[in-house]
Amino acid sequence: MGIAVGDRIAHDFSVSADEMRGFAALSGDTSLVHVDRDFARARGFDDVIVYGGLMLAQLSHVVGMKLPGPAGTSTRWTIDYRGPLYVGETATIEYEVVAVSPGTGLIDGKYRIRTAGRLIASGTTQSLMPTDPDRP
Amino acid sequence: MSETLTKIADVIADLFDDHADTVTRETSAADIEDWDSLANIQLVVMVERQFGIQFATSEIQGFRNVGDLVDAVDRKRTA
Repeated sequence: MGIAVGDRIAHDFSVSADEMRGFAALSGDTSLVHVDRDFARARGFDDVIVYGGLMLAQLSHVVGMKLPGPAGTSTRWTIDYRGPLYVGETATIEYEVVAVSPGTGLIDGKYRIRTAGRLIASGTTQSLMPTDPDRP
Repeated sequence: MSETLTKIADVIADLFDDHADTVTRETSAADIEDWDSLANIQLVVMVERQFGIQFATSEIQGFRNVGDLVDAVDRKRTA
């Protein structure tokens, strides 16, 4: 399977105003903290905050295309939102493999989403990879 | 009940939220409603971590019931 505990990847992304509008239309979620600047500021944020679903879309890119990669099937994700991400702000997903079961093909990972100065979110993933009957 | 069977029964109870008292060597996926293919993978991985061992895919494919899993764990722990 070629994946080992400690393998890691970093993925930078930012979310645009167009993507925010697109996600609002797709999800039907127009909750005020995501669409109303005055409301968001009254709630203590600097501006409207990025949808968590858009951060999960970036996590999907990481686990689906980078690590564990295109051969995997996600079986579990968790996420704890820790701080706001703002539109146009660059964030990084830092992903690390924390456990590998070669016989079953199950890969456990953990990740953090950070900006330069803040932790935005953290969580875990689990992916199922094709197995080699002769290993380990 | 052997020590290995007791520990695996605890794992099964943790995974399926019950059944610890009813697990025997003959218990299989047919006896627990939520024991599907993905749950089977989760069970094997939890057992691997519980005992600090790893199975080959070919070994896993040969497990027919809890007794087969117990025997495989014991073989690896005494190898």
